[in-house]
Amino acid sequence: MSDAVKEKNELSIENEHFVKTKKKLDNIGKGMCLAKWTQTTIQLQTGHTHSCHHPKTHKVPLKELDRNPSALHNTKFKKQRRKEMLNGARPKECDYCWNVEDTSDRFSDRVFKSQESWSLPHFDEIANSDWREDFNPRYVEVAFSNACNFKCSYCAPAYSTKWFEEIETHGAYPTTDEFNSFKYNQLEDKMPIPVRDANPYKDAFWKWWPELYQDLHTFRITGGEPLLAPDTFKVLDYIIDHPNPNKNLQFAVNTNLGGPKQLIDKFIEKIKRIEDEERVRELIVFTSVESWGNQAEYIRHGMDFNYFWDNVNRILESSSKVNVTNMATYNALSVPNYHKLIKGMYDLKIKFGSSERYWKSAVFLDSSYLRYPTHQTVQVLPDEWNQYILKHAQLVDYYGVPLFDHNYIGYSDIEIQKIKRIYDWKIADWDGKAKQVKEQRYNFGKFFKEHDKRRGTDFCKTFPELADFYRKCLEIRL
Amino acid sequence: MITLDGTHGWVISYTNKHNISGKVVEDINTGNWTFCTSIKPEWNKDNLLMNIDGINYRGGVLCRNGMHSGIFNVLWQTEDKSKWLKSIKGEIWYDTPGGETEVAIMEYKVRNEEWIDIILSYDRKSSKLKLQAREEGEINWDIQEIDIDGEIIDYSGSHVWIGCANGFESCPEPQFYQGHIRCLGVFNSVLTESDRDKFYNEYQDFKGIPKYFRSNAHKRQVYNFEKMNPLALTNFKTTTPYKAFDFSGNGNHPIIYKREWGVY
Repeated sequence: MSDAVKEKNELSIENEHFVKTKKKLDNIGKGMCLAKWTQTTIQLQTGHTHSCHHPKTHKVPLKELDRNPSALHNTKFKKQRRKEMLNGARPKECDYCWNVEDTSDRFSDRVFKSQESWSLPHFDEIANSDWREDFNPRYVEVAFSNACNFKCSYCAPAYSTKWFEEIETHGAYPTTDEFNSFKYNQLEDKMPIPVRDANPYKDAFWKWWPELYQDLHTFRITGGEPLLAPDTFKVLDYIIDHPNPNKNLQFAVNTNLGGPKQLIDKFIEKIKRIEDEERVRELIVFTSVESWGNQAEYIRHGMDFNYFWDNVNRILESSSKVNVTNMATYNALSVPNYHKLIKGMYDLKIKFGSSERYWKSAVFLDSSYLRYPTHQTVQVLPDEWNQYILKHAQLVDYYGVPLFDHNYIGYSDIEIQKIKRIYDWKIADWDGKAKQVKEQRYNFGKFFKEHDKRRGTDFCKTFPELADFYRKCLEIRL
Repeated sequence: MITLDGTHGWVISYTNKHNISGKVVEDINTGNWTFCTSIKPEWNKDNLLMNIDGINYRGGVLCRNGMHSGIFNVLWQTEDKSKWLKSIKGEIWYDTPGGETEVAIMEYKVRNEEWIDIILSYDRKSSKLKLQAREEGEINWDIQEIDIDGEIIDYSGSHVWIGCANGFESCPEPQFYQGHIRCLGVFNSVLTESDRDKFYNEYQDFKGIPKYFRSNAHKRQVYNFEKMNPLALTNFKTTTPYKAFDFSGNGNHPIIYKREWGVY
């Protein structure tokens, strides 16, 4: 669940807008959700899609693309689910929401997603449509390829060519779940198409794009590392050159900001042009780092931290409106140095914050906890580390915007709460937790021992604070 | 150090807004407590905003709102108007066994115009309120203690105010403090003399954001006051434009509070 959605979940059920939207949806059927039409994520490197991130992705049949490039989103499979929704049924793949609705009095995400500005205005059009009809989504996330110059410890071959090469050479990691084994990609038909090979999904996307672009509310390019995909620059050029650009577009690009300098320069030049010529409503650069200095470099293998930080500064210096959001995947290795990242991000807020920007705070720290691989989540850490996670939340609060003076620039409530949630999750207990954690710690030791061997890194030298814990993990026998 | 000009205060909220406080200020409503501070008040009557009948002055140094209690500084003209008296007061309201609500007051007469270290503590079990003060250059503390004959009133929902008795716009007698404050400590215990001295010996060295994790370096940076049950500690050296860092580890960072922000 996205954090914005979670925040909304905490709103009272009395909220009239959500009540109204839920009634409208329920009038069509108890399983109705506009996101099945309006939202899509498309992984062109594997040919997978889903609408809303809760259902699993499914493969787009190439046969469907031949005559209809919009089948990247409007697959027959998805249309069957739309049919169920329009006929009052609840698609099984959406059981995340049905669980919420059946076990609490809270709104499920189908209400929030249908309420979004990229969904609700299309209610009548969708409600009156035939389930067979194609629909251009308004909120689109696209990955053009898995080409990536990093192999972050928690990532996978489907999203990184560097990871792909490593697994191809050395095989899966010797954890109990055979971390990053190709068998998972094969099982889900998610083997990425090699970057240099012809990719029919990408071809279909470009056929569909001119029609899709004009209808878009939000477009976000993910990866892989998008700056390594020529298609990313093709999108930027398309927006720059279009005689009648979609000025309502909320445009976002994910990037690790660790690519070759000429690509970063080119990217900065193009986003500045888009910004200066007011060709979009807003432009957000999403990036990722979850620690500081050499510890960040260890987690995100391939990163040069200073180069990365310089690039964040360069974007903010050259663009007076663009915002940068750091999607920090808070994991066990983040804990020792996260306070430095908090301070670093705060300094950027103070230096670059301005009401001229699309969002007043120049940067956002979006801390989400890592869930998978389980051996690297905060759950593996001994309880003595819990307080340090809480202290990170307290530190963000210290740098926070005062409750009653929003003219000040600092961390927002949501940025504070997101770290607090990590603490809450860390201290939560459940049946079988001890057994799970034991196995996760075993895998932690196995993974990083192999990591150091394959990549020439030194865990104990990089994380002296965790060295004792790591050694204990190596002694675990299952 | 902060300098207050009589227009605004600071506050440590009793509430736990983000549910991230290690210990909350509310804890002092049910147990023992100690307020520590060190101040250099403005004593020049010509520079003060007279707030008691327009002729005398009373500033809230470290207080709780409701029926104002805590540490105050007072400048009062003698009846014959021949001189001005400077004092520090420790006050608290309580309900007597007879059902009356009364205020217990201790007063320390200030001799100089330099820094004054002040401690006000309450021992709930023995119902004793204790005021300790010493002026700059003095080694010994002036100690006063009184028995509270009754139960101190319920201060649930009261914030800890710094530099005023109550910063809310709705308060008719906010009693804004004028002068300097260089530290504060709020403890959930009555400090012993050795703990008191530890606080006053160490608070000036609190600096930066503690580095919790760098091998043994953190031991020099994390202030080991745990057994004193600290709720909030700061020397106002580590601040953003709005907040002072709480070195207790509880996340109860004092925040500037402007009157126009209203009541929360």
